[in-house]
Amino acid sequence: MKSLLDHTQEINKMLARYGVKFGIYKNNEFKEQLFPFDAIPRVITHEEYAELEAGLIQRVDALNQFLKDIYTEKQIIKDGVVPENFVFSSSGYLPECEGVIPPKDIYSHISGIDLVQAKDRSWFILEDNLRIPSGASYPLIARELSRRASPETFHENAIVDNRNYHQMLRETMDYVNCGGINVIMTPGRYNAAYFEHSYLAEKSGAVLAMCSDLFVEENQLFYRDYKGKHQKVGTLYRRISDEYIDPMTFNKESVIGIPNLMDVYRAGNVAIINAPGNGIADDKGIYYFVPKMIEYYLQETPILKNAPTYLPFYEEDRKYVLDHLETLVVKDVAEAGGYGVVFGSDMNAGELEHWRELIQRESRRFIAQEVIDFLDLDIMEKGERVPRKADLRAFVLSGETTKVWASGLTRFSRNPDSFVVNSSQGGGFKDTWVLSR
Amino acid sequence: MKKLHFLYRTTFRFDDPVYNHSFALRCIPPNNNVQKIWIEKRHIRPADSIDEMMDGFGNHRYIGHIGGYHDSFEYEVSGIAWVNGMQVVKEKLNPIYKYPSKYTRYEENLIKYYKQIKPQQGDSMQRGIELMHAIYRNFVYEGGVTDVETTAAQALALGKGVCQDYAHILIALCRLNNIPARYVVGLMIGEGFTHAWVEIFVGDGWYGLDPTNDLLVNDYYIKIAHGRDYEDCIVDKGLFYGQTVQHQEVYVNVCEAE
Repeated sequence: MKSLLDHTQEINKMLARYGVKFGIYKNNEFKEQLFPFDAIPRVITHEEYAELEAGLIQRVDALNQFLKDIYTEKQIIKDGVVPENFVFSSSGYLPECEGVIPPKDIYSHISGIDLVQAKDRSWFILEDNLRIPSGASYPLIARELSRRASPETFHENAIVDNRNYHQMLRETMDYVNCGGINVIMTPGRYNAAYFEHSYLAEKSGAVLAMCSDLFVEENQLFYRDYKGKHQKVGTLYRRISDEYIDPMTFNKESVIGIPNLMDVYRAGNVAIINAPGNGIADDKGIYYFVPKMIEYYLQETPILKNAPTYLPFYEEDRKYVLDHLETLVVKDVAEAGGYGVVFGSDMNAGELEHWRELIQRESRRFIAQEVIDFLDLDIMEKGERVPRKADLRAFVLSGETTKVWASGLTRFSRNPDSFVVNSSQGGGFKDTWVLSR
Repeated sequence: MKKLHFLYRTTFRFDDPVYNHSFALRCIPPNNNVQKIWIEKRHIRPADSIDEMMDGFGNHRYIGHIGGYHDSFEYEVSGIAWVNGMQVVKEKLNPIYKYPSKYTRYEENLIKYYKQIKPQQGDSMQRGIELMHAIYRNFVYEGGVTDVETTAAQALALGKGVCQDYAHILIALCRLNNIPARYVVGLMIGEGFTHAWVEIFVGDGWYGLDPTNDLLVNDYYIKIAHGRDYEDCIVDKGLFYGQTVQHQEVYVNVCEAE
């Protein structure tokens, strides 16, 4: 392990050379910054992982059933488990997807589930990302480089090999394929996750394409290759968000989408990964209901816990939130990437008053959660081990069966006082080891 | 019941030719118990490929593509409609029509106006009609002051606008009053352009209200498409390459057939 830590600098240099960067827009300027790698891994024991794995599979299976239900029968609403208002006033619900059943009934093929571990080592789900969760490529390449830098570390420790992510991805793409090639569609090199798009395409054998390489004809999707030859696309793993994928159905200003793609999809002639409309299931307001969904659809007891969450929408919860605001964290349901998150403990009297008023007025817009006492992870800073807040994004892939990738992206906050670990907020990352025994 | 002959045509001319042109058209009136439709003629040209699809709201759509250079694009539909306008269109209610949408968001001025004219009693039908009367009284028809981006609240603040604005305001007010409401685009008797009105959900189905004319929708209306607001039922969308100036000409003619 020491030899691995000694190579931290070299690994970071290699990551920079490979282009492992994060693009960030600040004041309308595009800046690329490195995504700092810390070589001390997060270690998940064999027993811990068994529970995590079962819990994640259960959760994602229930979320997939929820998506199908919402876009077809809406039984969970009729049965009063999820309030109608929470679904239909959410910006994540897309009526354009009504009645569309994607190939093999899979809506969320690649789910990024964010968790934190508390001091007592129990896990809490922080949020579900079912649209286009990114980040798998970072631990994937970091492991590759770490093994090269310090092979003995991986010889001496019983670590599950995580270099199978692209095989899992490929199996998922193949399983839902409607006849044709697999394509990973990127908005281009100015996207924050461009490295990941190109890396995953190369590793999984999919074609990396931009919107101008793709077009619709005869209600089929085609890829135009460098010779001008047309190839039918069977699976489209798009790395742009729903509102931009088809200017004829969604945002008409979009220049990074494919005109009439939604019609090809509706006709069942292409699989889109992940399905459009998934935003309804990873809405922060809907999060509250996921444990209930597991009971409702699977008749099982949820294995993994949500962070204790209050919905100001319910009177009882609202009262609690208003009385305990200074100890809670408040999240805007429409925001992502660490934006729209405020801690009551950071507020002065005036701000507390302002937020109480806002929460009362727009009760549907916010959720409030108890601040979890994270288990800190050590990072190396200037030659010393110091503790920092960290979370884990686990990747769950749904194809013929639902599988968890035995690794994940561990992100940490470089600021000792911050709980926010998002890469778009300047954090770093670690490899995640799952022990095989 | 009325027997109507209808013709609907839109022509685009481009000063400089365009290419790689994708289009999506909602131009075919649906068949239901209120209107029986017979299509006499339909053309879309030029077009390399045309496909027929339904959208998520249940509207008919033509989609297609033109690869090469062209300096015009035209679609035309004509036929006969047998209309029984005052009947209910029975349907299961999709709850999306209860909640605010992009063009019908509840801004402060809209809520304030709603409180002033809020119907005190009556069933959904009576309250919907009362809201329609209120808008008809307080809003002035005037072209050119609003555009396709104008929301219900913005139009209300102006106090004037066209059928699209009347419809958006009535939809917002109905939803505030717990009456599910949706936007309808279609044709009305006479010569001119497409028209927009509102459907409200009462009992087990939809009834039409035309706030621009302060009328219950009758046998002189032919519906083409519906959605939460204007954006869901845009009749034609196109995306092409080329630098050009585009001229659009719409012609609608609906008359009673012998």
